[in-house]
Amino acid sequence: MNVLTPGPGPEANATPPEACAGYVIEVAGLTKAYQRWHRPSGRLTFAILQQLAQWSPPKLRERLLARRHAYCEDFFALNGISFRVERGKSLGIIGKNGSGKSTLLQIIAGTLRPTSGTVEVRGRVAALLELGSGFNPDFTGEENVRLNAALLGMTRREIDAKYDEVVRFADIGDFVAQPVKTYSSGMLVRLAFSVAVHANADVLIVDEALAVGDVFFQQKCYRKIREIMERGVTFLFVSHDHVALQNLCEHGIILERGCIAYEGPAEQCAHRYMRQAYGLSDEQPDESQPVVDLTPPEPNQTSQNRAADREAAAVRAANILHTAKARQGGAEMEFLAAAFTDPAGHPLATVAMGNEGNLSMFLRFNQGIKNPEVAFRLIDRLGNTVFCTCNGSLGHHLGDFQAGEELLVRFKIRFSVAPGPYTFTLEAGKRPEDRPNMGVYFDVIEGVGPIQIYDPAPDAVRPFYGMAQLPCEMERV
Amino acid sequence: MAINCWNALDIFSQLFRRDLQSRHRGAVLGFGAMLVNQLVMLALYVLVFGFVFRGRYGIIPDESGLDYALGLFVALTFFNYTAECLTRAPGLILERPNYVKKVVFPLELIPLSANCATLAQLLLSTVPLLLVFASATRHLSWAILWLVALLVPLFLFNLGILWLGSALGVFVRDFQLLIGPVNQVLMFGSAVFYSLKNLPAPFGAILQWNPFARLFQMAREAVLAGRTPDLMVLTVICVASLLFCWGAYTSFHHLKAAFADVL
Repeated sequence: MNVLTPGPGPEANATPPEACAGYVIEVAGLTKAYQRWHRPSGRLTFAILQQLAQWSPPKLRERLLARRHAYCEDFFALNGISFRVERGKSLGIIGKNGSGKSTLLQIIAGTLRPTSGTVEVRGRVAALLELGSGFNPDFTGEENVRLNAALLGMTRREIDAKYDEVVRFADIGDFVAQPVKTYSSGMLVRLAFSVAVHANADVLIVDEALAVGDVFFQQKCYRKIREIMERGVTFLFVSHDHVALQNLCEHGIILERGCIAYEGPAEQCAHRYMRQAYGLSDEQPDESQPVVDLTPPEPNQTSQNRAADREAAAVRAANILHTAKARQGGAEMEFLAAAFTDPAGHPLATVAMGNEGNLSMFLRFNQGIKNPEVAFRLIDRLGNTVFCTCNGSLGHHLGDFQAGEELLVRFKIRFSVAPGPYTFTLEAGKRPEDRPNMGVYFDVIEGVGPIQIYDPAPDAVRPFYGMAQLPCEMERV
Repeated sequence: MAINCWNALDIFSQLFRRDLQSRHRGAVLGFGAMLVNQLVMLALYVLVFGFVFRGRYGIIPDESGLDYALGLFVALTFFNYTAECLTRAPGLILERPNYVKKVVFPLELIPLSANCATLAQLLLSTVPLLLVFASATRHLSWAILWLVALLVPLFLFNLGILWLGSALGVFVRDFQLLIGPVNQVLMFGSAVFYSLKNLPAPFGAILQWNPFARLFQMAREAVLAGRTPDLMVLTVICVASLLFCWGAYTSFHHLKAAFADVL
């Protein structure tokens, strides 16, 4: 390596002193309206009209400008966005496609003009807005690096000092001497990202682009981003990947149709976004359209056991089936109610990591079924089945049931799983005789819950890391 | 944005270099193709206008076909410079949406570098030829240096054309189609093939007001007759070109903000 560490001179000069305190990015009442033209010619006609209006007296001007809606309608990509970012902090912006994320970043980066509102950015901005943005495909990697670095405000001296470092970080071999059009998309983003992080900017803006790189490069990028954040660089990240958001940012904003739907800590932000993505709303469930029929059943004659009756009544009272998001089946046998309670029978919404909870299910058979199976799945926020079991797996044979009979079962679960939100999926069915690990489902109810597993002692050493605890012992030999 | 003067100079020099390079990248003949092109066009024009139509500028007594050819070569070189700028102008920004939307780019530099590259290319390909041609026809004199002074207003006019044309090209896509006819009008209306003095009454008086025609005429006179340009006229043209250039720059600067909305 023939690279000397770049001199402290230019680096020290690169950060303007006024950016040392307070807010680096201030966005106030930002609105961006795009015009959707009814006819292409309207663009020109309206532009002429607008010019005429400027020269005409105020009264006529108003009337002329009122004609605007005959030519176009406004589409608000951003609608009154306000936020501030302190120096050295990181902000993640998350939202679905078309929620205005990229428009917002483009305005902050200075390539797009807001319709109204103000953006103030103190210091040098390095923006990685899109794959290979600002790269000229016909020129070599080196030429593009030099031009982009100059655009980011680096002097020729700084570029010379950093060039080798940039190329080493991008790690694309001799391709730097080849025209950029011969690059794969991964190589392109490697080079572009490398320039952006080495530009000594005060604000780094990254828009999705990283997703193109392979896992190794992504991890390298994350490390680099953390490293430059420690130097006081403010970081702005846009993504629809909540994991990356949690990884990189302290704060988050959820954008929804051009408005800020939520602003808060990145973890909260990611959780909320996830719940939205999986169709779990934050509001109270809509009682008007229950997924599960809650009408009280006719008094039954077959049940003999009074204790079981009482228990069934308790399950009905604490029923959580109305929180379900989807249901399939219910003809042959069906869930009537389910409850999630502590060992004493009180309904639960949160469980401390490692503690127990009881999941009770009350079912009715609408036709005769031999050896039914009742199962539940514990689903984490990413949709993974963390755990699934059924009476068969636990060694219970339920026997044969006639039409009209009812069944109450209770699973006692120890929640040795990572903290976070979980949902239950309840399944009723039977096994084909020749295929012990297959299921024929009669009733499946998804998205019951959610329940929250929390860490009761966040300052202590956790009993395990990862998704769930496996039986494990250690000895010193 | 923290782009200062030195930075702009650096970006400009990179743009300029690439602009020059890109004309030859991927070309097999490269520089030779330019030369052949120039010579063929010149030969055609001389044949048709000089010998078939027997055109003469009437700048010097006993003007021969070769003298005419030299005058035509000078005027054509000047005209080609403007014509190329006109042709490139509409697409200049339009073809680089990246620089508008994805990075904060000093867009004003793109037309400037295009202009400089066009001029540099033209000088490289014609100056040696011009010197050889002029000495072969015994017209080589110090007056030929006046061409440099005449290029100054032409440079400014062309810069204005590039700024204005590239900005308008973003908004009016069919602008590119207009350039062909405009080029033809400029070629025949700017006294490339004939002398302003030989024109019948109304046309001569009208074309007097065409600064390009006056510049081409003065260039021809300087080379063929060693005549010093009318400094009064040259000054007026310089001022006019400066004003045009400034106006074009201001328009570009105003329109620039809306580029990203349209591209």
